[in-house]
Amino acid sequence: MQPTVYFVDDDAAVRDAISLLLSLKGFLSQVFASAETFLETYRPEWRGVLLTDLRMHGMSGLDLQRELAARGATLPVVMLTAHGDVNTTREAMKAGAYDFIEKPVDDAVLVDVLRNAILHDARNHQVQSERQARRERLDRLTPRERDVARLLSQGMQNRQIAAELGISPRTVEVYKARMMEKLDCRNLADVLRVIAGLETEAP
Amino acid sequence: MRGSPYGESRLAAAVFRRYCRRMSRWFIAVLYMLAYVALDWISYVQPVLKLGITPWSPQTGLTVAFLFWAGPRWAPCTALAAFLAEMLVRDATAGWLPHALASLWIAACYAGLVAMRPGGAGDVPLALASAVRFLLASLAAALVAATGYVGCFLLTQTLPWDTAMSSVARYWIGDVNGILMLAPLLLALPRRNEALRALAAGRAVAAVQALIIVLFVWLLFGIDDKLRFFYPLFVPMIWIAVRWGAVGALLAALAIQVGIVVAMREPSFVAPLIDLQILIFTLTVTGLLLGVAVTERALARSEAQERDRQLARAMRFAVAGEMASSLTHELNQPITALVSYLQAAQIMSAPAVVTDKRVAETLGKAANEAIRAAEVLRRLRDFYQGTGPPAPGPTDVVSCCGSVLELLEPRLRRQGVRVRQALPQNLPQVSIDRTQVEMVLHNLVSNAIDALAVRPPGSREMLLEARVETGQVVLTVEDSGPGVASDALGELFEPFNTTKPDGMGLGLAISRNLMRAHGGELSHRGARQLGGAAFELRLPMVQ
Repeated sequence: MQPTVYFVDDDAAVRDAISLLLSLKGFLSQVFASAETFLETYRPEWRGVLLTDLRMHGMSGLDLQRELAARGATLPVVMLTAHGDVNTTREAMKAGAYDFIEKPVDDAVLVDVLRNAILHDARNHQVQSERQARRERLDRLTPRERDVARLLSQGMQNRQIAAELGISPRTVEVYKARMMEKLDCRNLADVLRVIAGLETEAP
Repeated sequence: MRGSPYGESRLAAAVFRRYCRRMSRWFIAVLYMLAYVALDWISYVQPVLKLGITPWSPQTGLTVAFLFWAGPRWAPCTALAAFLAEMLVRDATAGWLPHALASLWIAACYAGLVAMRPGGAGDVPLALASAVRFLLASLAAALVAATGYVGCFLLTQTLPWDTAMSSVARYWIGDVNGILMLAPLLLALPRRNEALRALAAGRAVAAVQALIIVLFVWLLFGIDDKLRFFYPLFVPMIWIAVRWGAVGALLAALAIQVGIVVAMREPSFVAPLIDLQILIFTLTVTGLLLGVAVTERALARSEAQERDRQLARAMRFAVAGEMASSLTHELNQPITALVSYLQAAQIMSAPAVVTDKRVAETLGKAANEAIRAAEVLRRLRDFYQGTGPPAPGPTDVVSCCGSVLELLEPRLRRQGVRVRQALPQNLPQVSIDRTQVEMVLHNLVSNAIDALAVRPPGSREMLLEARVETGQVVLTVEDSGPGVASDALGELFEPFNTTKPDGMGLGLAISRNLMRAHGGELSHRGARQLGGAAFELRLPMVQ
């Protein structure tokens, strides 16, 4: 999926002008005349950035941002605001907007902000998918193997683990080798990274 | 100008003023003591046995004014001044001790009067309630002073016991008259410029009134029966009180008193002054209370007018602000498109495509001009946003309703609109600026009056209702008019949307913005009781 700028604005001229500018600056873009039409077509796997006007008839940019957050979408949101709209801008930023751009738009600022947002989304997505992969790898472990991994990460020696689980040190060695292979780890440090990452991030 | 006599005299005056400020209290205290003795000497007419029991004691008025100005701690000055007067003016008839005791007693009494602050915070009794308090406190203090003073000389047997009652009465009325006439006038001295300006505006009236007073006083002494011809003096006194307020009335009373005292200096005059003094007391009290009441009423009226003007100013400002804000938003959209088109065109005219470099340059300039236009709009809007009234309450909703209805009373009466109010008296205060709440209410009530114009006069009704709901005061303005058409409901609060031929369509838009800016809300709902439109105002309570 190519990163795309999803642009929502209720003013046809603004939509046309900005999407022209975006295409000239080498962005893929898709425009929507209202927040409602955007939400109708939105797919969770969309990558890139949502650029939306703050003040629109019907659903406002802020409403759209809240609705997306409620749906668990991670797409970064960049608000187009009128200059001096301090209160609403602050509200949008507090609600988790990635950035805001004041109208009329300066093309250099626009490009800068959108690039950063897309990069942010890509990195975010990568972190997400890595975590997903680690989780999948961990899911392949048998309960015994998982116990061994957990106790290893707590700093126990093979003999202590054997005592703890009531099995022989030799068996611990076997579980450990199998676990390392499944997790695609070459040494203990790798195992620690996989487990620690999940424990701090996972809900 | 340098070196001219005018400049020098101004310099001298400035130096003198600075000197006065530094020396101020002591200087005034000495001046006060001198003036006290002088006044005592001047008013020393018809005394009882060469004691200070005279029917008019202006020096007491001076004392009260001085103590108000300097504070009761300066009472020793008063005692000293009184003692000096006893020694110098009255030759210390009874030996120095009783005179010293009497002086101390007087000073203590009037320091006590001042310490009670009967005139309220300002000390000049200009409101009716404080004038009455001042009058009663003066009567009480003077009575205590009179009893003590006379007592001192009764005990030393300077005064025979059978004159006790009449001496107390004489001293009492003398002191009370002195206080009532002089103290408020002296305390009002710092505001003399105001009075002089007012006087300059009505010079002819003042001259006629002064002439009448002189004429009446002259009549009083030109004819044998003094008391009968006193009563006509009430007529000019009432006129003066109504025209000039308490200060004018007191000045007139002072003039009459001085005229009478001057006439008393004639050795041929033997009538009992005490009888006249009681009449003068009545005249002074009438003038003072009437004058104060008139001043108070005038003040209330000018305050109401000032509030009216403030409201109108705030409304004009809000209208301009709303227009600027709408204009900025509406024009900012095409300008945004314009700037982006121009920037796109600039990119498309890259040197590889368009050989003339000036094309890209010109497009850049055009974009900059469009940005400048947007900048102008921003500044216009910021001007109105930055200077709007920000200060939140606490505001009393019931009194807001009262003052808005008072302002619109002429229109309500002309249209024959019956207003019912269901406002609980113990409503909590709200945290929105009073002028803003009044502005919104004014708008809603005057909309309702307009809506009621299509109804026949008998059925024009309005309801103001308030209740408390989850941390908010909910105020409803309901009318028995035709209500809002259902197709107009969606755009009711949009700017420039109106059904009135001469309206701008900004009232409701502004009102809603004002309320929302401070955590309140304004919304429309169908009327439940009167069948017309109903608007609901939600105001956050003070935490």
